Formats: sequence, C-alpha cells, structure tokens
Amino acid sequence: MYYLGVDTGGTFTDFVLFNRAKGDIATFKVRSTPEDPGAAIKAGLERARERHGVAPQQIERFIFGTTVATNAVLEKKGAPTALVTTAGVRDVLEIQRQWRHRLFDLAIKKPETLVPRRHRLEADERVAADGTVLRPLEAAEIERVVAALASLPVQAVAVVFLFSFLRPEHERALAAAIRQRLQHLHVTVSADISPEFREYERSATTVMNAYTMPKLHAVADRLSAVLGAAQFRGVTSIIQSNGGLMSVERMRSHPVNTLLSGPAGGVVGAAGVAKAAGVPNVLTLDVGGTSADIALIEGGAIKLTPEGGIGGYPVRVPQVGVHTIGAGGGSIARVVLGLLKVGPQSAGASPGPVCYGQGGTEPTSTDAALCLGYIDPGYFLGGEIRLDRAAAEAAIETRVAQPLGLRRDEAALAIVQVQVSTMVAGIRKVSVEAGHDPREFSLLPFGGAGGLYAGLIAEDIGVNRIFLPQHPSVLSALGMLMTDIKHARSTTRIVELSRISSEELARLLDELASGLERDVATGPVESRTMRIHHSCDMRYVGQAYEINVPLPPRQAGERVDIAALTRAFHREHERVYGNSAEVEPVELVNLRATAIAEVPKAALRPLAGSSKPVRPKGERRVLFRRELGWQNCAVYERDSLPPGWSADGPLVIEEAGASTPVFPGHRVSVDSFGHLLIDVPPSPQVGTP
Amino acid sequence: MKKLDPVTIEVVGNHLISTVREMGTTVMRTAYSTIMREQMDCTTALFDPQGQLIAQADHVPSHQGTLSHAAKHVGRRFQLKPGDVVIMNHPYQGGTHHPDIMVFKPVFHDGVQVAMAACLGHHLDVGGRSPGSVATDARDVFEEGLIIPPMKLYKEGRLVEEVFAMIEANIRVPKKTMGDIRAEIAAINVGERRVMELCRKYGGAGLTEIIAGLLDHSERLIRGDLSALPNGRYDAEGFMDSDGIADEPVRIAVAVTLEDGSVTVDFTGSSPQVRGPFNCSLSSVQAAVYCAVRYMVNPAIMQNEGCYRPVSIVLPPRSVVSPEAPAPLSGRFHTMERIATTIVLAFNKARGVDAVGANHAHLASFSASGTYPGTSEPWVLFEVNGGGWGGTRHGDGIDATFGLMANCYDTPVEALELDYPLRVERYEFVTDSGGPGQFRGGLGLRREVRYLSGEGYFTNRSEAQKFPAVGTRGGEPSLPSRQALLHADGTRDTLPSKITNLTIRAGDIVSMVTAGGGGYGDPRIREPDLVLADVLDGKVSAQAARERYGVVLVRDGTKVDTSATRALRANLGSTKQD
Repeated sequence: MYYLGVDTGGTFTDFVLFNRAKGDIATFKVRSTPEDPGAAIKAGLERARERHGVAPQQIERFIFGTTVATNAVLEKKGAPTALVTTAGVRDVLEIQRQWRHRLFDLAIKKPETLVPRRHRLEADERVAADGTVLRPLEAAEIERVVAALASLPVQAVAVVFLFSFLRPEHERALAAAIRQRLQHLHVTVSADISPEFREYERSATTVMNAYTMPKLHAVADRLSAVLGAAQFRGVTSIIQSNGGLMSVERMRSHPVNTLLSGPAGGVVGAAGVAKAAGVPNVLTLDVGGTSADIALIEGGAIKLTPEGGIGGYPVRVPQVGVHTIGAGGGSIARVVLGLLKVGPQSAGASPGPVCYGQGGTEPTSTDAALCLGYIDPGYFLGGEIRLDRAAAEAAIETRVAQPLGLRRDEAALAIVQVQVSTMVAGIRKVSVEAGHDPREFSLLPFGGAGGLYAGLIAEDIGVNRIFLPQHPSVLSALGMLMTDIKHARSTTRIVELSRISSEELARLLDELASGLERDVATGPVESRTMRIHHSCDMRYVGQAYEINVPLPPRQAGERVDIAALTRAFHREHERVYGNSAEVEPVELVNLRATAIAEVPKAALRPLAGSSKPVRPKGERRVLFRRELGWQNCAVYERDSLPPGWSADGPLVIEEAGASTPVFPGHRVSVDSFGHLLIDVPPSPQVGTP
Repeated sequence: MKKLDPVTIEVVGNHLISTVREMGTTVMRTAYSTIMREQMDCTTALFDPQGQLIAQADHVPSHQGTLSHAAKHVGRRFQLKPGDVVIMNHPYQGGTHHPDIMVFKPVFHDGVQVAMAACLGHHLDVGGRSPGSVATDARDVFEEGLIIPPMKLYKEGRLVEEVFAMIEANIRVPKKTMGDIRAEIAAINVGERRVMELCRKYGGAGLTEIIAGLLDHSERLIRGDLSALPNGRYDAEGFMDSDGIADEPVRIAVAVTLEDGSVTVDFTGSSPQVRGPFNCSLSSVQAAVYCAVRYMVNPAIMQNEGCYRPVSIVLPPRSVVSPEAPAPLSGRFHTMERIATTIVLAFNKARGVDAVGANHAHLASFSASGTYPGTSEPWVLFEVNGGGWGGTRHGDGIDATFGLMANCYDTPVEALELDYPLRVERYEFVTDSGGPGQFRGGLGLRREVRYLSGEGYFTNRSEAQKFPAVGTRGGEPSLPSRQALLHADGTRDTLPSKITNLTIRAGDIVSMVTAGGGGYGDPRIREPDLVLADVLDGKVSAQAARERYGVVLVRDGTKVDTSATRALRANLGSTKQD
C-alpha cells in the first residue's frame, strides 16, 4: 500500500509516492492548474497508475497542500466579505493599530482593507472586560443586522465582538441567525478562530477566514469529486500552517489554517529527513526565485510561533516560524552609484534570468552562477530549459563588470558574494539574534538554488556541516508524509497567578483538552494515540507582551502546581531575556493546548550500498575563489553516488532540479539515506572568499 | 576620492547593519521596562572615534542622528581607554531630554581606537517633579529630573560604583531603570565584540578605510537626490497651539536653501525660547531636520554621517529651537513633529508635483490616573494617538497613523479595558476630517474613553486645534483636532490642547479627536467615483461631496449624478475664479 503527498506550487504540483512495503519513494511533478487544482490531481493520479503502477485504490493516505487561500489574500481575490463588530469599533480593522511597516515614505500605503467600510456593520451589544454583559444583543437588533446583511453584495461574513473570548454567546447568536436566514453566506465567528484578546489581530484573522472560505469550499468539493471518481478509498488530509495535518472538513471551517502552509511543509520535510538521519539541529534555507525562507530547528523540533503575517495582515494562528528575505535565484544585480546591489528586485519566473532567453535583460544571481560554472547550461531542470550562457555573460559584462571596472568573472563572483551576504544576514537574524550559535547547527539548503550558495554561506557564518537532503525539490510533499494531525486551542484569562486557584486552572485546561478531543474526533479515524501539550502565556504584571511556558504532561482533572508554573516562568524569562525578577508578581494571559494525534508516517529505509566504481560524468572549468582562478573539476551525477562515497572539492554535483558546487577545501560524502554531507573546515578568512 | 572595492563595502555595510540590529535585539532581550522592550523606544549605533555615525538601527524616526551630537561631544571631551563606558543625558551637553540616557564605549584594535558603540534608551523615570519625568508645566530642567553630564560609568572595565549609586538614589523605580541601563551596556558590549571581529578580518586601518567609503557613498546618494531639486530658497512657517503655560501660538519658521545637492535649514524668525517644556535642544532639532530630509530622498540609503554632511542648520539664539539652559524641554517631541512637517512644507515649493499635503503633525497624548475600584492601589495611564497624513500625487494620505517622527502600535481596546477601570466607547475614523483634494488627506480618528470608577486626574497634551494640516497645489486643509470632557450629566467641557491635572469622575468620557492630513490638488478634479466610494464608506459626507468636491449623487446616494456634477463643478470653478 502507498501514501501520496501532493504539494501545489505556482508552476508545478509535486507528488511523492511512498511505498510502505519497501520504505522507498517515487517522485514526479505535473503542471499546476491554478483555476482548478482538481485537474492537476487527476493528472497526478493517472501518472501514478501509468508510470508507477499504483492505482488509487492502493493509496491509503492522500495528503494535500494548497495555496489557494494564500493566493486569494495576496492577490486580493477572495470573496466579497462583510464584518459585524461591536458598536463603536468597526474601524479597528482598517486602523491597523496605526502602525506603518516602512519609514520615511510620505506616499506610503497601508495594506488595503479586505472589508471596505461600507460592508462593516455595527451591532448594539457590549461585553465588559470581566465577561459580564453590559448591553445584551436583543432579538430585534439581530433582526436589524440580518436585514442589513441581506442587502449587501457579499458571499461571506465575519462576526467579531469585543471580549467574545470571554463570552462567545453574542457572536454565536448572531451567527446562528445568519446561517438560518441567509444561507448563501459563509459565516465565521472570532471565538472559533482566535479566542484571544487584542481585537485587531483577532479581527484580521477572522476576516481572512471568511474571505477565503468560499474558495476553499470549492477546492474541497473538487478534491472529493476527483478522488471519488478515481475510486480512492483512503483517508484525505490537509497540511496546515502549523506543520500538522487536518481533515478536509476542518479546512472548510478553518481555511485560515492553510494560509502559511506553503513554507511550513518544506520545514516539516527538512526536520523529518534530518531527524531520521540523526541531525537534530538545522538551519533550513529554502531558496526560490524571488525569496528565501529561513527557519531554525533545534533538537528535531520545529519552532512554532503563535502569530505570523501575510500581505501585511496579522494571522494569529499557531504556525511554523519562517523568516523570509528578498534574495533568490532571480534576484537582480545592479550597480547603484558605484556599489553592487543584488535584490530585492527579482526577475521572477517571467522574464526570468537573462540566460532563460525569455526577454530578461538584467543579470541575476542565477546568471552569475551559470557564468562561474556552477550550473550546466544543458542540464538545467534536467535539461528542460537550455540556458544561454553567452547572453548571461554579456549582461554581466555590460551591466556589472564595466561600471565597476571589474573583469567579467570577478563581477560574477561579486554578485554571488553580495547575494551570500544578504542570506547570511537573514540566517543571523534567526540564529545569532535569537540567542543560537550557528556553529551548533547544520545548514540544510533546499529548493532549486539552495545548494549554489551553501558552501560560501557556511564559511561566512561558521557552520561546519551542510546537509543536502535527497529529493530537495519535493521536500514539502515529502514532509506531508512525515507529520501528524495537529490541532490547537487557546483562551484568554488574564489574572495574577496568585489569584487563581489550582482547580480553576485545571478546569480551564480540561475544557481546552476536551475541545481538542472533539476536533480530532471530527476527522478521519486513523489515529492510534493522541497527546495533548498544555502551555501558558505569562508576563510580569505591567508588561505589554507575554512569553509562552510549556506545562508538564498532565491527566484530565489533575491539579496544576502553580508554584512550579511560576518558577518555570521566571526560568523561561531568564532564558529568553537574560533576566528575571522573582519578587515581581506574575500574570497569566492565555492558556493553550495542542493535540497531536499520531498517524502512520513515511519512514525511509537506508539505501543499499554499491561497490560499482563511481565515475564523474564529465569535467568543466569552474571559478570558486578569485585567488585560485579557474579550476578544472569533476562533475558528478547525484544519482550515481552510492552511500559511503566521499570526495574532496573542488567538484560539482548535479541532479535534475539542482546543482551543488563543492568548494576547494570542503569534503563531500553520501550517508546511508542518500543525503549529501559537506564538511566545511573552520576558516580564519571567513567572509572573504 | 580613492577607488574602493565596491563589493567589500557592500558586504561590510550589510554586516554593520546586522550588528546595530543585533545590538537593538540585545537591549530588548535584556531590558526590564516595557517602554524599551515592547515599544522599542531605544536606538543603537556605531560611531568612529571622532563621533561620525557609521551605522544606526532604524527603530523610531525621531532617533535619526540624535546620538551624533553627543558622540562628538564625548569624542572631544574624553581620552578614552579600552573598557571605558561614558554615560550621559544632559540635554544641554548633547542629550535630548532627561529620560533618554545614552551610553558610549570605545572599540580598540591593536591599541588604536577604531570606533565607538553607542545606545540610547528612553527610561521610565529619571526623577524630577513628576512620575515619569514629563511634567507638562515644568519651568526649568531641574524640575524635569536628574541631569547626568557626560561621565565615566566604567573606567577600563571597572564599574565606578559612586556614579551608579548617585543615579540609583535619584530615581523612582531604581530596579527597572538600573536594569535598563545594564541592558544598554549589554548592547554596546555586543557592538564592541562585532567591530573587533571585523577588525580581525579587515585590519583596523582597512576597516577605517571601508567605513570612510560607506560614509562617502551615502553622502553621494543624498547629494544626488537633493541636486535633482532646483536651487533656491524656500520658506515655510508652522505653528503650535501654545507652550502649555501661555495661550499664545509658537512659531516655527524655516528657510530651506538648496544649492547643488546641499541644504541649509535656517530657523531665523522662530519664536523666542518658551516658558513651558516645548523647547528643543540641538540634538532634537538635528533629529527633526535629518528626519525631514530623509523623507525627501531615497529611504533605502544607509543611514550614517555621510547623510548629514550635505545638511547645515542655522539657529537663532535663545529661541524655541535653541534654548538656553535651564529652559525646560521634556515636551520637545511635539515641537519636533511641527519642525519636520514645516520643513516638508518648505521643500514642497521645490518639489513641484511631488509636493505633499501636510501631516497632522501632532502626537495626541493624554494621561489619566486614579485608583482601582475598592482598593487604594493607584493606576496611571499614558496613551498616544495619531491622525491623517497628507495626500500625494500617488494617492490619498493614510488614515489614523502616528506622525512623521513616530511609529508605534496603539493600545488595543481589550488590552486597555483589561488593565484599567476604563471603557472605550468609540474608536473610529472622523468623517470629513481629511483635507479635500484631488487626493484626499488621511482621516483623523475619534477615541472616546469612559472613566468607570471613583475620581482621578486627566492631562491633555495635544496640538493642531488652532492649526490643522494645510493642503498643497489647490488641496484644502484638514479639520482641526478637538478634545473635550463629556460629563455623565450630559454637559460638555471643551478643552484646550494642553491642560494638566483636570479632575475626572466616574461616568465622564474623554473625547479625543485628532486632525486629518492636508489635501493634494483641487478637490473639484477628484475622480467622481472616488468621491462616491468615500461617501459610501462614510469617509466623506454627501454634503462635503457636493460643497467641497462638487460631486452630486443621485437621490439614493448610490451613484454619481454625472450631469449635475458637471454643471456644479463648472459653476464652482467659475465662482473660484472670481
């Protein structure tokens, strides 16, 4: 039997087919079909049958990653949506906390509001900060709001009342009336999506849920239709922003949980393969065409953050922490008043780098890598696109080399160096600036262009091991087969720790846990065991922001040791901020619970070794370092390298989707799973290749 | 100019920016008070031994170059040794206002000083007459808090205990403040370490040369952008409502002279030094000027001393922008906003179609105090809000945002109500508050806060009641700001923009309305569909659409009445020409 992971990207949809009996995988790609994701799935299922002899009936688990919601928000193509708020605060959504994301720009624009003011209604109701009802939501007021909604040209509605995390009844009463009377509307209430305080973040998240819901219902419908027609009988799951899985039903009610699932899948895949290979600490670097996503994995654990953002809006659902920088293979190199800048402008996929020959005129970092010999013009994407090296060289000559007074090859090397310094700054942000020493981590590059820069980045930042996973271009799809069902719930309860009883705290945690049991139970029954982790957000009284402190595992009904919790907070504060104040009163803010329901996962088996002698497939001239000049070096096909093989740089390793230069002084080997490991010696000359 | 390796300069530049950012993160990770940790009211920078700025973290616009003046003072005054740390806040010796405490540490390589790491933090309290060290009616600097002249807090790595004890004994919350000072020192230690690493890589002299190249590069970029503007002298004036003591406007006069990429800002004609705390000492004036200039050039230019070289400042003595000690200055931020906006207005005259409507130019702040219900436990709240930005040829000004010199988050309604016995009744845009224009000024906002329990005090510190934001190129002014106390019995007290310690009782509502931004271009050529959209969204009233924009809507208000609009606009146009 088989598991199938399907990751929808902008251009291609990646498929990873795991054979449970053999413990190995097959991978393939089909063209994405943005208008109808079902068409790509259908094509992929056919390909699995034709090329790999796997019928849909043999597939037990089907796991799907979608960027439909993400694109709807980024391109402002979600459904027309209305918002109902408490009287007096309908503009909170558009005020956006008065923050501006860029300084020194008189013509700055804030992210356009997803619900125009004319579609924002106010309801006469009010709950106080202690949860008491100041003004009840009367039946007549519900009538009035429903009637007003009926006349609006919208498909979805979000309901966000103040303090609904303490008393959700008003939101629910209005939602029930809307569902009953206006059946064409998709309804979301904030108490279901983000029941925590700070109304702007809760509103933005709830509105995005409503705004993307009609589109994701269409996706869910297509998915069921295509899988039904193919007589698929297994379990279908969806990858979420938190790196865990959810059911299709859950996606219908919580589409906001998919918003940041794209980068999450890759990080999950990276963590999965690295952990299986015995590498617990990694810095992942996913280099795409216009940007690079960086994440830190410590002890095999992915760092989750309770809030992230997309298109300038906050998304307050737990998600994999990813830092994105504007540096990718398509980043454009320009000389600006005598200095060389690379990115953040990008040639993207169209026109793309000059060497694509699709009309690009400004040199990019991919053009530089081609000129330096890191990429074979005849073997890009496995030979799918023939690259024009002469055009790339000419562009670098006229636009970079001549203005700077450099030789052409020096200019190409300079482009790579500047690109690397940008990526290094991004890696420092998630490592050094967050209190992690990069020397204790391996660098795990993936995506098409990750391997091109890894050697130089590692030298600069002091990482001494590069880990290049097998199948780097389908890591997201692979990651989907290596993760569990994951649901989270939270609630706000702001109270000094000395003023809450152990019993009340236990009761609140038990409520979260039983809610999670219901969430998991609504999904398919493929889970054997379920674990629930509890944590609390706490702060010193008077602080504006809180930190998250995990609780030890507990049984339902078990009392909570508040003294121990207080001590744990002081310890965590010390760890995060370098100080603690044990005489200061500590305050509880949010309670959180995460359920992890284990499902069968793909476990790759070590590959068989081979005694066949390894021969390079060719040789070419490559410029690694200016002082070493052009060097003749061997080029290897990655598939030909068996476990146990090793060699010293300089050399180049190629595969269909990627190319990796191994620098002089670095040593590469293949581990038992087929991952490439590159050892980078500590360099006194770091940063100046 | 020596030919420099452009790649090394770019790479080292990235490293220096990453270093000042890491220093900033260090402050936030180790500070005690929320003001630094959460509001990021601090800045970190690297200087050369003469006090020329090498790199600075961009947190708050008002910190532009604020450390530069002090760094030069420190560079001149002390013979620094490795391990020394200089501390200061003296507003008349390079400081800004009392709560901003600065620390400096020299960086040495092979026995030669190559740089100075610096940090400025806004502290919760530095003593003086009122908690928080911001008395609105202070008459001199001595009432405003402890004054620390530049002095060594560490000598060659050893803490000077007496200095530490002296500071500690003069402040209200010593644990937090001294913890925050230690956080600033942790940051400059990180800066020192990172610069030493760079010295090992490039050598002391090599690094100095690269830094000189970076400064020259920024200077070239700024001069290039400024020289795109026509040479000439461009005057503008702006007014503050009062100095907090006398109900007289305070005048800010600027003459901006542009000459081949250089700019001189002359404040001659500005009001004499004022009695209330709205005077601006040199560091603050420089910050406002540098900030305004940065709005005129490419914002991506790396901030360092090179940016300031093309800028000269002329200050009339004993004026609001060049006060003499001991004139009070704790409220100088309000003056800085007015200075920055006035400079932008002067530049407008050189910028042609790139002129912009004026910013609301105020920080609407109010503080309130009382005791928690049923206890004698006191509470103090300090709240700030912004208003509208000016329209530009690219579109409408942004709504309800802090001014040119500030950027921070508002206080969520739910956070406020959870922490204080207060209730926010309204937090919303103010219809018609944006100055009409082809591109409208952004909207001001209304925040109404009800006092729930007992009796306490309320202080209003605002601006723009008498002087709303002006429009440009035919654009019209915004509505002014308004503040009022609405009593539970239905009566209403209109408040002046500055008033201290008014009594407030349970049921009373503080109503803060902020000004919008100035309009850009003649409102009568605004696309009628945009006017319609504003009316549908309640941002502009149907009446203003007709009277200010000359746009008539059909009876149910859902469409533009095209022919009536054409007729009205023709009529308004001819009236205007009369």
